[in-house]
Amino acid sequence: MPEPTPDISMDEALETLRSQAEARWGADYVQERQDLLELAASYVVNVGNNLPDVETEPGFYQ
Amino acid sequence: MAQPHTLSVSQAAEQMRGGQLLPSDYANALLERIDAHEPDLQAWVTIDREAVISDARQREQELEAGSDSRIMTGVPVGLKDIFYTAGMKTTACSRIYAEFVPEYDATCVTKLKEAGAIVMGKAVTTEFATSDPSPSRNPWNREHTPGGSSSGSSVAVAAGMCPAALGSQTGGSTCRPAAYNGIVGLKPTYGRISRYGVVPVSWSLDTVGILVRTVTDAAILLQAMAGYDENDPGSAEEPVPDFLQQMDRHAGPPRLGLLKTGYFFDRSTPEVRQHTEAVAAQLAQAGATVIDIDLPDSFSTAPDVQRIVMNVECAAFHEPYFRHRADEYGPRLRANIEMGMLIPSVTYLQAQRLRREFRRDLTAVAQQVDALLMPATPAPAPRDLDTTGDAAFQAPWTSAGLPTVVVPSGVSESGLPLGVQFAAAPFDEGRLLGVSRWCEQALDLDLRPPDYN
Repeated sequence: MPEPTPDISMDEALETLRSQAEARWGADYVQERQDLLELAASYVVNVGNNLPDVETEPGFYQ
Repeated sequence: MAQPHTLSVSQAAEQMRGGQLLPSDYANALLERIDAHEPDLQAWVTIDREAVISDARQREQELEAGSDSRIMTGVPVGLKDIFYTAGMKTTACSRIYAEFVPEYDATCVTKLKEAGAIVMGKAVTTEFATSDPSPSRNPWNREHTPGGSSSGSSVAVAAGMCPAALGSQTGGSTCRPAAYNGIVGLKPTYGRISRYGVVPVSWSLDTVGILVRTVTDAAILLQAMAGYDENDPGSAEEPVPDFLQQMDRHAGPPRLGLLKTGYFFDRSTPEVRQHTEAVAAQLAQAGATVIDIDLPDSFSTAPDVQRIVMNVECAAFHEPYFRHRADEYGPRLRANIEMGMLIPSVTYLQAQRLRREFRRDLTAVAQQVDALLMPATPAPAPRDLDTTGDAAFQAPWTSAGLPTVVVPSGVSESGLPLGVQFAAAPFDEGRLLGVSRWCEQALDLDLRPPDYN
């Protein structure tokens, strides 16, 4: 299988999370929970840019 | 003769089998101790005194009839208040479950009873076994956190209110409070003990934990509870060995891999780093072979992977309640649930894929030695009742599903307990416990909180 080339940026991840949060809980939430959104975005970026081998399937119950 | 509250599980069980200690006297002594110290320490949610005494008398009759040779006959065990107990409230220390009375016992509770144990009561947990601090206090210094989420279970064992208690671990909720309170904690391999009848945090991470005062006691409780359960989708169909026998097979000086570079030492205070190196030197002096071991590259994403999986699965469980009752949740849990709702499904699945690689890599590292050795926590219990401390040294092992044991290893300059943590390959608890017991004996400590000795 061809190898993927991930390059998710922090800005991109944060913007996606902000718009989802605003749709769920409103603009105030986005203002108040900036730290939470940035933390979540950092997880998305770290995982999205360090993908496992392309043939690895999820483990779930290991 | 030793005071009843100082007895370990194995000592108490032996004395009761031998007729030197009556189960009802033992239970009464522990209930009196709870009465004396509960106002200070706040370790318990529910105690049914009549049931405790009635069960103890029942065990007494069975012992007198000579018909009882079970491994835990008459031993009272505390249960974190997320374990279902038929007819007794299981609140998860939450407003959502405040009035919940299960109709059945959790499988592990049933197994403890089958081994002769008595349910002492339900111990305080942080709300839904997550991160909003509980009211429990650390018996070593009440101004410091006892850790969480198995806070009441750890405090109760450390203060001699019961010789053993059940906790659980999704991040660091068994082994971290064990370290903060100066007791032994065992997080078995994921799937080793059934989670059926345990209020979940995260289905693919949750592991039943054991809190006791000796490594041998951890093996006794593991023996009582381990085994496949068709009611738990995560339950492993692994044979259950005789753990005490396996410990004896690994009773010699072990080969230890010290995780000295990177993650664990980088995050530790200078005091914890020096202490862990001193412990490794002491164990080497006693005959252990200690080598330095590096962590696999896949460790770099492990903490974030654990948080993603935990928060998304936590959100999935709570979503039906949270939709209408968000205001009834504590602020940290609420934030975790909200984050879980926002994490993209693709990210969750990538995290689960990374976990699989991480488990494979970490297993290969663990198989190089009898056990891996590291500090149990980055620092002693923080002087802050608004936190449960740092789970960074437990979460990667929970994520990989590998078994870990925390053993008390000293006291900090501030008078708080310090511990070391051992880890082994999946389903190798017999070796892990044997190594941990060897180290426990080599360190030869008897740590007890000074004000609750």
